Amino acid sequence: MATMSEKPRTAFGPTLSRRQFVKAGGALVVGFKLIGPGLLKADSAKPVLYKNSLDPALASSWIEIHSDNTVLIRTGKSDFGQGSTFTAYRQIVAEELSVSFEAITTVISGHTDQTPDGSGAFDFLGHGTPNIRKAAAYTYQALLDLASERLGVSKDKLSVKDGIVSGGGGNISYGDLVKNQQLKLTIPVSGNLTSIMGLTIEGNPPMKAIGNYTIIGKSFKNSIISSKVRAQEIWATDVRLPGMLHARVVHPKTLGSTLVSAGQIDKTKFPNSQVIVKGNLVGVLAPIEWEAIQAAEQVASATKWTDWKGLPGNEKLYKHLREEADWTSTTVTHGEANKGDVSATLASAHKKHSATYQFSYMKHAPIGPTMAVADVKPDGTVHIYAHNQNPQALRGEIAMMLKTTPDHVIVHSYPGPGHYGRSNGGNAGAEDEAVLFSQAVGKPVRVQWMRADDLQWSTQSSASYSDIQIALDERGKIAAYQVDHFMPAMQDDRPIGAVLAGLPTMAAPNPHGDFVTNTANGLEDPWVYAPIPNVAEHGRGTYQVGERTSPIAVGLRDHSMRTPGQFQQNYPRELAISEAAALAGADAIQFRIDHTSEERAIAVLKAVRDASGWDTRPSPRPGGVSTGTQPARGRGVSLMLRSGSYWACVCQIAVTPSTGKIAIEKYTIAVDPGIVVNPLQLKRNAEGGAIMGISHALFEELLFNESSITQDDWISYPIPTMSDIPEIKVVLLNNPKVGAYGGGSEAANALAAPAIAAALHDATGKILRRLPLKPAYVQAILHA
Amino acid sequence: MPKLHVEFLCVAYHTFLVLSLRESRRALGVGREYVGTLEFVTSVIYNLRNFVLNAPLKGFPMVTLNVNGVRREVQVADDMPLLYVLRNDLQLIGPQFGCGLAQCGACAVLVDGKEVRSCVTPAASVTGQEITTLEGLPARWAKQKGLSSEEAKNTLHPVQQAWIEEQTPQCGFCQNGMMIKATELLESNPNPTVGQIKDAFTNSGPSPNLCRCGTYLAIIEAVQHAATIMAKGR
Repeated sequence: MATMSEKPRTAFGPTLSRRQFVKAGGALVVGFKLIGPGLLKADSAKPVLYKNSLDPALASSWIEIHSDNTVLIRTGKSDFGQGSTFTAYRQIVAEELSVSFEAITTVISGHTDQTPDGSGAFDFLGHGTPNIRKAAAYTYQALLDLASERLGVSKDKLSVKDGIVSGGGGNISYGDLVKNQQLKLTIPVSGNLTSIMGLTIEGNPPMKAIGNYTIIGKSFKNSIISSKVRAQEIWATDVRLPGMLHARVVHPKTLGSTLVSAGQIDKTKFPNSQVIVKGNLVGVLAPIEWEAIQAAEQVASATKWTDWKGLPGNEKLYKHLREEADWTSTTVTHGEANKGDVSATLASAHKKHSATYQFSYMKHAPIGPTMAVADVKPDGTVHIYAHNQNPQALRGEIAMMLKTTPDHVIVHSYPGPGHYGRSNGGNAGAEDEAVLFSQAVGKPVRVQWMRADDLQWSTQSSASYSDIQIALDERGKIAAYQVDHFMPAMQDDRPIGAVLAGLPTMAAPNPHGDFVTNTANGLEDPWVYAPIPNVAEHGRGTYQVGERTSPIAVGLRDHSMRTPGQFQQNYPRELAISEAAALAGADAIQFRIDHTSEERAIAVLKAVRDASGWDTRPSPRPGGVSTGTQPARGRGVSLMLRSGSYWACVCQIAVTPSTGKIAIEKYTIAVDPGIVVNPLQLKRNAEGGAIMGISHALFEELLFNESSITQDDWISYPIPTMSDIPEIKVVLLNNPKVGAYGGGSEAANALAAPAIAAALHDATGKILRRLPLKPAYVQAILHA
Repeated sequence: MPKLHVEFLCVAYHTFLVLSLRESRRALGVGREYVGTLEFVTSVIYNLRNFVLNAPLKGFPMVTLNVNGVRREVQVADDMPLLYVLRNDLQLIGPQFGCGLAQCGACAVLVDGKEVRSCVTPAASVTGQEITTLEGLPARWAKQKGLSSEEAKNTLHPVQQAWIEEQTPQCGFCQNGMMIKATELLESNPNPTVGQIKDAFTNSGPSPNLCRCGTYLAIIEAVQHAATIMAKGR
């Protein structure tokens, strides 16, 4: 998948129109007008918006101002735990409109027919200008225009507080401004609703001066937490429809198997169950869930599949990627910061660091396996009830599968177990299967994957490896930095049920694919070491492992996961920078400070240095040991710029050489996101990311043989327990002069791995360059 | 034909309930007060449905469960885990399906005050025992504190209060089990240390209580906060 770049911004003014007189109430409704062709050239001939099938009047609205002074906001982004739609979005809109946080009484998110903009649930804060902020800013200007007319005062003489406009000695509430009339504000929008990036609001409406903020910066609570804790929130898992059947999927024996014969139901045991077969997709349906589970087990044991071997097995993964994968067919990506003569500088280096870093496949591993309810109506309309990060893209994928148009597909979004990017391109795994089964039986069907299905048939975060060379000059400074990142295609949004059933999907990843299906490996880790004079970064991509030898084009299907691509690239970079510091005899934090000119990077590094009690000195630590039963202690650091936010972390660890077991003792993380929108929510996101980062660094690795993924439960795919967590300290650096708010939900999970690996080097003098840092691997390297 | 009518009514009413709860979520706290009533009426209708419909349809034995202080008659296969009864027959949404293997804790409920994993516990094995789900925590606390029914209506369990005040959940899918585990712990140890909290959530159950979003620190803080609220008695 190619790099997601900033979209073009153009000035484009809104227009305000009055509609018919409304007897009761009245409202200002903010809708949109699409400008120009879709951003994606390949899609420009297709329609980029779809008719709403439930409520056309509201299909395109972002913000409604009601006559009772309440406000409703709509966003296509689905919250899956970050809380941004229920906290930051309300704060941002309240701020731009100058109303109270509480005035925003309703947030509608994710539903395809009730929200406007589409796009995946990532980059919620949109580098400071998410769609919802611009929508609010346009709305505010429209309200001022109305007030100016009503109060007979020019716009520049008006002021607003808590939704009351004052000026020229008079005042009027927003509610009174819209009372008894329906006003429609049209704002300019571009993009393609069902593409991964969705729609973007264009133009440059005036925004509130940051110095005047009163709502952004406060720790408002997330309303959905309250309803979840009270057991009053309906989750996707709770949806039950009239006549609904429960389904379990009998997935193929291997990732490349085709169906020989489906097993028959033992009707004496399971009288109400039935088997549905579509190509290689086999499902077992029953009105009672427990019967469906048991019948599916019985059918699975009687179903015959072809054998297939086409994977290298996890033991030989690196050898396969290094020696057998095709890295030449896909266009190489070159870093934007590339400069100078790297080869010559490396050839004449005073000291040289040269190493390869390996990164394993990991699972998104939601705590609840994926599920969906689908209801295919007799007229062909499809309703899907699911937890989804990109309902509009799912809509497009289901329409493609059924050879219909997206108008016929409606996705209802509900909360569910977080899956950290797995469905940001549309599907999480079960939605299409539910649709196909529902279509087959003419009833609503609920597909629930079991734990093993979720580990073995979902997508995974890509494996990768990186070759790095660093030249040091006589002063101990980096004179040249060269990296080649090698990673199979990171985004496979083909719905697996459609693939198994042999129905239309988007293409499998390939070198000639579009934005989503291309095998290109974009450079995702922004360069923060500007003073280094010679730089050469290259991203090299290839097909997914097993994809081309599988008869159904399904190998290890990769998919972006929290901090996607950047995790795979920042881990080798930051560990290599720590190694270069050690080679130069320099302190790892000071070394970074000496190699960057970015004030915000320096500030986060100093913040973690102070907050962690970092002892400034070179690594490895004097007296460090790599043998024995006594724990050796060390510390490491890492740095990242992501979505407009600067992050640094320090991990202090103790490793027991005789067992290879690593304990994280203290984890300090600092973030400068620019303006901190909600300190408590940002802190909670950072803590969660930090703990997930420990999991990635120490525990997680996809295991597979030549045919299949071999992990099927939480024992074989472990994640940390509460006893594994260290003391965690989060330092928030509010930096209003940045003038924008950056992301807070990603990055934290990726910072741990390079810091822990560097800490291990600090403690023992031995370097481990492959993740995860499992005891057996640590033990083997320490004893080598 | 009456069977079909009952089925239709039950299903229609449940759909209505789902939509009502959805709307109340959208209203962000507004209109919460009627949710309890809806749940009660729904439970009555579903008990009626089970009584009228399921005996001839399923042919499973009838068992009596004591769930959140209410006797519920349900028909279950001998080995049917409690989770499916709670979720599909009794319309409780606190316990979640996480693994079906007693390895994560998302499905946890209290049985006679002890945390059990409802995904592997046969419903028929807990007849006569007191089952408490997340929905039943407020009433459990009200009973323990001897609150009047009027007071009880407006009370949350201290664990739930603390979970909201500390903003503990991220996605929240595991938090049912975390709150059940916290309640079990605090009922036996009203003032646990961080070490005791970690031990309880890691070692006291059939498996560690797992959180994928990494909220363990927020859980520890919420357990300590809940202990403070409980010590104050409200």
